[in-house]
Amino acid sequence: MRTLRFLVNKLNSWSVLSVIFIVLILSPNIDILIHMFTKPNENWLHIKTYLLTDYIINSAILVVMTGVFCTLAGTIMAWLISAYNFPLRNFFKWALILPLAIPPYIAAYTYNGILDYTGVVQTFLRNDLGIQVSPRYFDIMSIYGAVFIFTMVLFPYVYMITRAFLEKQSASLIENARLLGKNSFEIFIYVILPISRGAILGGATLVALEVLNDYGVAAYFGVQTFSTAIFKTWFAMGDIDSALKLAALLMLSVFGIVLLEKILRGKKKYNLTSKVRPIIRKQLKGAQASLAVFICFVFFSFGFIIPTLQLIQWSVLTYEKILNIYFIQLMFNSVWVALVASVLIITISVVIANFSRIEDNWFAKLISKLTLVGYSIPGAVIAIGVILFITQMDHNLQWLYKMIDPNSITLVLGTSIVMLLFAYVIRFLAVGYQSIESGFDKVGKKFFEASRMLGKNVTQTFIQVDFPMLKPAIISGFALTFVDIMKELPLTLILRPYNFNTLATKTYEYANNEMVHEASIASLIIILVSLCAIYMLYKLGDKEKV
Amino acid sequence: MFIEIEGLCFRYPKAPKAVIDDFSLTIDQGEVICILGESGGGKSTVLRLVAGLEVPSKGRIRINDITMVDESVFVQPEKRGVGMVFQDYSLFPHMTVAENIRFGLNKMTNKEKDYRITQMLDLVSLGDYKKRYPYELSGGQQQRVAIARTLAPKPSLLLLDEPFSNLDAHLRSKIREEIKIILRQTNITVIFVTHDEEDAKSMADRVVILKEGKIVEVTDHKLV
Repeated sequence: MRTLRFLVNKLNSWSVLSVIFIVLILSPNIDILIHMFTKPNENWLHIKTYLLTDYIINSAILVVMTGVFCTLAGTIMAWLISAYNFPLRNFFKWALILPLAIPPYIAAYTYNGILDYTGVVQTFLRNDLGIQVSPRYFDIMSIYGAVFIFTMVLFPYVYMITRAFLEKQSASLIENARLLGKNSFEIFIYVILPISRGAILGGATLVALEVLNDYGVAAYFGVQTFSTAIFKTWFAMGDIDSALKLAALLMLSVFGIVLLEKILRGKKKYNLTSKVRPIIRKQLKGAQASLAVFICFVFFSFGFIIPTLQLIQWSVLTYEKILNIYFIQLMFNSVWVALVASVLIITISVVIANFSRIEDNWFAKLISKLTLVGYSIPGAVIAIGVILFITQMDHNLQWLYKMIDPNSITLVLGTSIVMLLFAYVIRFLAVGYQSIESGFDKVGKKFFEASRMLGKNVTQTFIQVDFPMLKPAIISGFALTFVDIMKELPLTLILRPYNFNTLATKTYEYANNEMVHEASIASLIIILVSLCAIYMLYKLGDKEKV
Repeated sequence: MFIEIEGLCFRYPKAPKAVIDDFSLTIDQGEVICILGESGGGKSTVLRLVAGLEVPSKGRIRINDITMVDESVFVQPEKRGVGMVFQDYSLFPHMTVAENIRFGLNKMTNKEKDYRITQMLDLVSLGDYKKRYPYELSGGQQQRVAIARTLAPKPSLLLLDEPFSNLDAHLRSKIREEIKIILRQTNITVIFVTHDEEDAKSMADRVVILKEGKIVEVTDHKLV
C-alpha cells in the first residue's frame, strides 16, 4: 500500500519528463561504453599495435603540458591581480578573461597565418629588415604549437576561478603569515597555493576537458589525437566498430581525469567564515611593477590582441568578397540552430531542476548530477554515440515511416538536423542547467510552498510563481548556451545535414582550403558574440558580490 | 471531531531519531490550538505534515471526516483546503498586495475576486495598500497581508508558523491582539506554533507542549 501511495504521490509530468530526458541523454553514451566490449576486428588490431600508443602519447602531452602551463600562468596572474596594485591592474583584471572569447581552432588558423611564409612576421623580417630566416623556425604546426595555442586561449579558466576564490579569502591569513616572518614568495607557496588547491584544480580540469574535446586545432596542425583518430577511423576507414572503441577509451580517460580531480581535491574543504576582511593589495613599485604589467600584457596580447588585430586586418582585405547573400545564410544558420538548441536545453533544464528541487531525495540528486555528464564528454565521442543511437532509432521506426510514406528513405532522423540538435543538448545541457539550478537555489522553496497552500498545483505554481522569479537565470543560461553552441566545431562538423554550413564550420573549411583570410569575418563574428557572453558573466559575477 | 491526528511519526532520511514521535490530537471546529515548544522540537514539522508539505512515515490525519494521509492515501497540499501563514510570510515579491491575495482565489468571477480582496484587506485594515509591493510594507503589514492572503480562499483550517517571531517586541502584543480579533471574527479552526509562552496563553484555547517530538502536556485554557 505504501509503495502505491509513494508512486501516486511522485508520478507527475515533471518527474516522468525528467526521467525520460535523462534516459535519452544517457543512451548514446551508454551505447558507446557497451561497444567497448564487442569483438575487435582486424583493423582494431592494427590500430592497437601501431597507432594507439601515438594517440595516447599525443593526447597526454597536449593535456599535461597545456594543463601545467595554464595552471602556472592562471595562478600567477590571479595572485598578482588579487594581492597587488600595479599600473593597469583594474584593466587587466577583466582583460585577462577575454582570450576565452577566441575558440582554439580560430586561434590556430590565425597564428599559422601570422607566422607562415607570407605572414606578417616573415614578410616584415624579409622585406623591411632584409633578414633571411629559415621558415622552419616559424613552423607552429606541431604538437608544441598546439600547446602554445591552447595555453594562450584557455589559461583564463584557471585565472578566473582562482581569482574569484582568492577574492573571498581573509586578509588575516596573509597578515598572520607575514607576522610569522614569511616573505611574499613563501606566502604564495606555503599559504596561497595549498588553500587554493581546489579552485586551481577546478580550472585545470576545465582546461584538460577542453583540450580533449578539441578537434579543430589538432586536425589543422596534423597532430594525431584521440579526437582526430575517431574522425579518421570513421570517415576515412569507414570502420565504425574501431571508432567506437576509440571513443570509449577517450570517454574512460575523461572519467579518469574527473575522478583524479576529485581525489586530488580530497575531502578537505576550507570553510571560510562568512564575513571576511578582503586582502589588502600591496602597492608594487619600480621593476616589480613593470614585471607584473609585462606578464599580464604578454598573456593578454598573445591570447587576445594579436589574433584579433590580425583577423581585423584580414577582414578588411576580404570583406568585399565575403559579405554576400551566402554569408547571410551562414549567419542565419548559426543563429537558428543555436536558438532552437538553447530553447530545448533551457526547457529540459527547467523541468529537471524543478523536479530535483521539489523531490530533494537521492534519486532527484542523481538525476540532477547526470545532467552534467555530457559537458565532460568530448564532441567526437558524443557525435559517434548520437549517430549510432539515431540510426538504431530510425531502424526501429521503419514501420512508422512506411505508414506515413511508403517510399520513405531509411534514415529519416539520421539525415535531418535533429541529430545535431540532439547532440548539442547532450553536450551543453550542463551549461544551461547550472544556471537554472542556481536560479532555483536563490528563489528557494518557500514561495513554492506558499503557492501550493493557496491551491495551485506544481505546474500552475511554476507558471505563476517560479517562472517570473527565474527569469534572470533563464536569460543568462540561455545566453551562455547560445554562445557555446555558436562556437562549437566538432559536433557540427560531423552531424550537420548535407550542405548545411554554420559560421564555425565555414571558418574551418576556409582554413583547411588555405583560405585563412577569408575565414576572418566569420571568426570575428564568433569572437564578438562570445565577448558579449563573457561581459554578461562578468557583470553577473559582480552583481553577486554585492 | 473536526481534525483527528493519530499516531503521527516523521523522520528525515538517515536521521537517527524521529522528529515527530507518535503524535495524536483531536481538534474541534473553531478551536485555536497552540503547539508550544523549544526550537528544533518538531513543532513546525507538525504543521508541515498537516499541510501536506511533508509525508509522514506513519500515522493518519483526517480533516472534516476526510482522510488526508494514511498508509494508502496522500492528498496533495493544494487539495486539502488548508491555509498556512509562513514564518517569513513568503509574499510573492513580483506581485502587488492585491495580486498576492487574488492568487489563491480560484473558481470565482473577476468581480467576486475584487470584492473578496477588498473584504480581506478591510479585515486586516490595509484597504489603501492594494497596489503596493511587499517590499514597500513594514514587517507587521506584510504579516497582515499574509494572513489576508491565506484567509481569502476560506480554508477550513488555518496554520500559523511562529507568527510573531519576526516582529519587534513593542509590536508583538499589539499584533497579537489584532490577529486574535481577526481569527474570532472568521471563527476558523487554527493551529499555531510558537516558542513563546505569552503568545500561547493569550491566544489559544488549548496549549500542546511538545518536547523532542512527543506531547508532554495539554492544558485547556477554556477551563482555566
